[in-house]
Amino acid sequence: MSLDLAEPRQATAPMTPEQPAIEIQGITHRYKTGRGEVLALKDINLSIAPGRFVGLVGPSGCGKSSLLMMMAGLVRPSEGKIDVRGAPITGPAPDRLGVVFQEASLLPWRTALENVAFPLKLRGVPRAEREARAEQLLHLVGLKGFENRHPHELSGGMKQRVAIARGFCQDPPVLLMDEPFAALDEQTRMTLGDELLRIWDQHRKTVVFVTHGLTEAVYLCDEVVVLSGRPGEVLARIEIDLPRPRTWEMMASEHFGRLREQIWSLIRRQS
Amino acid sequence: MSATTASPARVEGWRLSPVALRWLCLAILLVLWEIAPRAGWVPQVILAAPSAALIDGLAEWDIFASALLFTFTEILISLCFAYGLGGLAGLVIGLSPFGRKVALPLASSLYALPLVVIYPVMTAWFGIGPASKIWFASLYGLFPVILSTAAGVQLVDRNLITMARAQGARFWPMITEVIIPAALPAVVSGLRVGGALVTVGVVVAEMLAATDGIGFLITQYRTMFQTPQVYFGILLVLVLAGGLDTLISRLERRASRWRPQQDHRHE
Amino acid sequence: MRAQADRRVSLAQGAAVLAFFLLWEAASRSGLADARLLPPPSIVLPKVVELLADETFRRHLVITIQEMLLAGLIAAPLGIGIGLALAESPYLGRAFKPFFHFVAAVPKSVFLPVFILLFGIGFGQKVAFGVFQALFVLVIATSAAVAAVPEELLRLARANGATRRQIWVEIHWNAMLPLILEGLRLGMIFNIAGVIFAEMYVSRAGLGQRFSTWGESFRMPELFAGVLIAAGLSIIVNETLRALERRAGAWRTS
Repeated sequence: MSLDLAEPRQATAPMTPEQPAIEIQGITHRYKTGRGEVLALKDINLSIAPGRFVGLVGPSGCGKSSLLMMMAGLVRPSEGKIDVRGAPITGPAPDRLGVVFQEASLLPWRTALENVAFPLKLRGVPRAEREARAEQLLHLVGLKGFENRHPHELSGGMKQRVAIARGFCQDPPVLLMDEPFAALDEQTRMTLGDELLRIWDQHRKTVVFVTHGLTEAVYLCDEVVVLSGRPGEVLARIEIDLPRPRTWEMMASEHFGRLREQIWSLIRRQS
Repeated sequence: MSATTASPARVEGWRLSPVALRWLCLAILLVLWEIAPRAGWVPQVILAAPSAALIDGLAEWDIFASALLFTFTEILISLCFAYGLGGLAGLVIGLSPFGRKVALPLASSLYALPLVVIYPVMTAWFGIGPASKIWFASLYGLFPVILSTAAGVQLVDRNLITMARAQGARFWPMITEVIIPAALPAVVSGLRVGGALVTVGVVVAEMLAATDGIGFLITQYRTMFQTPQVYFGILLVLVLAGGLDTLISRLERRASRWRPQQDHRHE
Repeated sequence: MRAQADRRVSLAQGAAVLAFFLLWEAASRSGLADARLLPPPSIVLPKVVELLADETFRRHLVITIQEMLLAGLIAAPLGIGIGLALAESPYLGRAFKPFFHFVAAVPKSVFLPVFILLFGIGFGQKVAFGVFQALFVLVIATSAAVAAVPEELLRLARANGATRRQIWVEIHWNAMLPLILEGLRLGMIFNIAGVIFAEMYVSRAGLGQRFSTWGESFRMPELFAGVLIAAGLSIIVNETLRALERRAGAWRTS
């Protein structure tokens, strides 16, 4: 039943030692609550090479989502800096970073097509041009024929596809995904994961993928970064040396299980 | 629901459907209203028969029409003020969390006051012409617009705001693309309440002290004991208010067309 | 922390009210506004005390309060009773609820001349008009309150063998009270406004009658003082009912 994957091939796309896509330097974050100050993240240093699919996992409340929001320029860290493609992040930078949220966060009064085109609209791209691009992207995520539906007419999985298409809309080199499949059921999550890999394979963007799902993390990523509980620190960076393209059979392999177990034991010790 | 209530009616044979009962009661009421003054059960000066009200009212249609036009103009101007200022104030209050906490309770307390008491102040300041009506009615309609706009803005899905921020939306695109469309259904329902209050405000003001307008006309006919015309005037006000309400509720339906709970066959 | 934030809000609210009075004072002192048309608070506020001490004014005030309370006392059981009947009998509800919704949405103030024709211009007419203003919102609030009783709780109570009486006392009463009190509060607001409006329109006595007289004779200090007293009266009624509502609805959100 299990395939022998004890000696997996080296992951595809060898990384040239060029400039990292994301460079996180000394990020520390504190915030105030009713009961005093909380140290959420402590001295995070991470360098992510272009084209890598990197997972971010950790116990609940470890600040992995906050870290992603800092990369997106939505939250300002107390200390440290983040460079994306060599330039510091001081605020939202939609040309460099696409963001996909846990909630699909679609504008309910806009159609699927208009939602995908929304970032381009904000940049003042003419209607015909942005809608042509959005249509292409909807086809890419498998939503041909759903262009004129409103979000409430779409299933949870479809909404998330629209959100992913929107993330790709400005063709940013980096895609940040904050538990994008967390609100979906198991089957939809698996299907969408495969779809995401298929699209990613075509474009080879750098992806940072925050998730709770360890199976999902191992299945999707080139590398999984494990954060510790509060304050969040980098515990380990685990290279997922499974070959690509990934297949469902791999999940049953011993190696897959070992990788998953390795991450789980790191996290479990935290809580 | 309708099946369960309708079937015993058919079985027992004599029991009316609730809708039929409603219309029957209204019809009986109307007939009684028609007969009572005509048969002399109630003095005609107190209660005018509906037919008399219509006949006598329509006979003086010219007077009513010009008064109605006058009132309608006052209402339109007041609506502009109430909607414009109320919407703006609501937007500003709704956008700032602190402003919301400070201003909303104050605004809702003011909303609870019997505002009619300031009308004598308005007439003392602006005379008994249209100006005092417009000031009064604008103020009267202002608070529901402020309250519902602020509530609508406050309830905008935070996820959408974060998303738009991540896409690099600045202040104005955020307002026009996210906040206003999201708040619109709540805002329009406030416009509906505000519109009703503006209408009442103008008519009430005209009834109290005025030189023209439908409210003034009603009062004048009342002091002259021309009862049918009084009833006709009231009917006109109801039609005016109902028409305005229908218009705004149609707007309301359009504003929330994207909502799932709406019936999409209209699209 | 929370208490501190609350204190900041109350402080800002107090400041806003204070600023309003200061601006008012400044406007009429500086001549920005005509002090004859806008007497400053320093004149109006003592006038409030003076009026409240005045025997004649107090008689007017008491009449208004009596009209308002009597109207409330009539409207409350009537409105709640009709509302319960409409909610408890699906048949009556389907027959007459739309009617009450319709009348509740109609501007009721325009019917005042009818009340004068029917009831004259005395005490009874004000009470009747107050009842008319308050009744419909109360009916609707009550029937909505019955509909808002959680079905699963009723099922749970029945499953545990609760008697009809127990179900009413334990579940309906607690679930409905805050909504009914809210309806009562709105009804009382409409009632007060209606009574005062009726007095302003045609009357021989009452607060509203005073306002009209003062307005026509440009007695602005008295008029403004009267406005403040009327505002105070309705704030007292509103806040009392709101406090009851909060207490009754404490289980809803903490």
